[in-house]
Amino acid sequence: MASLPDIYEFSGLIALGAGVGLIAGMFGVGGGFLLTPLLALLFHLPLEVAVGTGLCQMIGVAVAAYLRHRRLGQGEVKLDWMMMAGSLVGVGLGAQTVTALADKGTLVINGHTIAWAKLVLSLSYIVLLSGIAFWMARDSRRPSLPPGAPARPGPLTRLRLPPMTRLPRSGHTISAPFVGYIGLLMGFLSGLLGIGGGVALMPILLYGVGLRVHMAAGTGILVLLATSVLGTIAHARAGHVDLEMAMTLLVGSAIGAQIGATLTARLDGQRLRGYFVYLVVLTTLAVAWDLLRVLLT
Amino acid sequence: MRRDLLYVAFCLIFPALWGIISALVFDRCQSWLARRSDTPAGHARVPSAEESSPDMYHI
Repeated sequence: MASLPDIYEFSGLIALGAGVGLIAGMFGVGGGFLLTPLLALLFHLPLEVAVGTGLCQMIGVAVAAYLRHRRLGQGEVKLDWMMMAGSLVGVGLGAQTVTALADKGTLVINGHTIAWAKLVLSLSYIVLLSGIAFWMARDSRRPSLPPGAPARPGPLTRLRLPPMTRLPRSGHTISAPFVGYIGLLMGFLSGLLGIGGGVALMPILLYGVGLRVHMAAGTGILVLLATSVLGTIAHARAGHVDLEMAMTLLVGSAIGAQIGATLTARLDGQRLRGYFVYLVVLTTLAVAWDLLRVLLT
Repeated sequence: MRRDLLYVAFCLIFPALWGIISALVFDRCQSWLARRSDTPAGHARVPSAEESSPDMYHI
């Protein structure tokens, strides 16, 4: 018979999975950037285990997203293939960095002992989440393109690192090796922080390349699927994946995503974005507080 | 040390190289699929020299 703490933990994981799934369903993001720090904060997991477990749960999210987008036929599939190898190399590098940080042990700052992994990963989360909050807040004030109007090529399309290649759906031209490096960056963030990488890719595709929103949202799903599988394998080999936890989270997120998708149709989009920014800011503050607590007490 | 340098070189060169090759292969496959759908089954025509490499100008 399961003990009470087990039941509390199980219910908590289902609730966290459902909460993140709800947000993912509402905003069309994977939610990994919220799930991983919250797993570490609420369930007192070492950050490296939270990263591995978050990536494992991401496989389920990626499969669902891939099937949905394949049905809708959105996204620049060519970009996915071009980013694939870079992202796979990057996810390996990210996972190796986490393992190296975990093996490095602890350091002493002002007489307080803190693990290297916690310090570096927490600081990375604070920078990433602040960036996301800033981007979302700025984006909510940006006027959207009228339907049918051609999307203008972004500043990254002016980068002339040959050879250049043409994107078949948007018609923009972009440097082929540079796309490989975008994949490398995305993969590295996935392996290091246990995120899908979509939060980093979306601003690049929207403002950097100049894709339309629905096109950018459908791009990178194949890469997300590949990086989450490879990242999980890399982290599992280092013993950083809690499979039971990942499965429980996945059950919660599957329920939450359905509710989120239904709610989105009924709520005001502008107001939703505002709530989302608050949520990201709140998570950033919680991660910062957790780090300061270790360093000050 | 030499192994580390080789690994760094691999990490820097491979993504870019893959980006170039996959773009080329993707374009080739797309134009091949487009040609295949234009031609009735069993009546394959021989593409002209220009048609056989139209995407050289894309990359």
